[in-house]
Amino acid sequence: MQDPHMPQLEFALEIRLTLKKPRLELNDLPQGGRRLSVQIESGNFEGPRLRGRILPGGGEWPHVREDDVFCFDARYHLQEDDGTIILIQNSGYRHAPPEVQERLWSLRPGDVVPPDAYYFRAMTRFETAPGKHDWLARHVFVGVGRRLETGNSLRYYKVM
Amino acid sequence: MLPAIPKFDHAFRLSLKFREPFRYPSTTGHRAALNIASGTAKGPKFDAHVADDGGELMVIRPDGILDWDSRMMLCAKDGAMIYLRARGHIMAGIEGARTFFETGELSASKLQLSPYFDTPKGPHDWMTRSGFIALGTIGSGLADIDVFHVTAE
Repeated sequence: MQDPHMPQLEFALEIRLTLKKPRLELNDLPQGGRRLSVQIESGNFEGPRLRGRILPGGGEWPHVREDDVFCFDARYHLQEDDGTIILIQNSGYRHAPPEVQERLWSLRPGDVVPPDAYYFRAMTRFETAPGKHDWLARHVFVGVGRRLETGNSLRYYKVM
Repeated sequence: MLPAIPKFDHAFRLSLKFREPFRYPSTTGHRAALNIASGTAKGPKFDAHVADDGGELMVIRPDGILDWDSRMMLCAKDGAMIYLRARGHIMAGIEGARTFFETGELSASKLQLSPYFDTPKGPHDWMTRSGFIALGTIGSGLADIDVFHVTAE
């Protein structure tokens, strides 16, 4: 029997990010692991109810734990084609077996790792002006990510 | 016995230049975002420059406070990367906050921050086990922020 409380999801948008290179690495933290700075160069987004571009600036400063789990802390802005600015704040995890992590870390052009070979999930909040797009600021979203040579691509689902 | 009154040592001055801010209304209140064009940290205990664009998010509160939440990566003179996260308040005043939201111009305002650092193990790692407060002034495009280390005394 299906759990009646199981969250139901609805596809909301996909965000494609081109990330600046090189990322900055702070290694050998006293508490273990590494801290990174990954800045966003450009990007775009599209879904059934909205589309637009990613504003330059912003990025993420993930903590890569001793167990090689990436813990995201991303903040940047989307601009809808109608001009509305939307803030996205993401936390989440990326992890995989060591050989997959190593491949994801140094992807070469043309190298595509199947997304089911790793876990890349985001817990996401949006903020925007009251009005047409404020449904974004009233729902929880879950993102499913892919790591590409040029950056990240994430598909976001609204929790109904 | 009362706890000791905290004592402070000046650690460094953080001088930042910002790009043009963008402002937007949101369901949380008015917001602003700033990115760093360049910056330095200079002092007896630290010498570094800002190595990324940073990311400063603000909520422009109706009571004239700009609620500040920032991250940035610094690069010390010896090449070590230092991560700085800070939250705090800019005392813009009701009129100053309104002008900032409407025009992007911020008249010189006091700020108070609570910084947190990640560093690699080594000469900078005292910053990962010390308390800090930061006091300074921010105006249009510029901020000078003095960072104080809470001593063990």
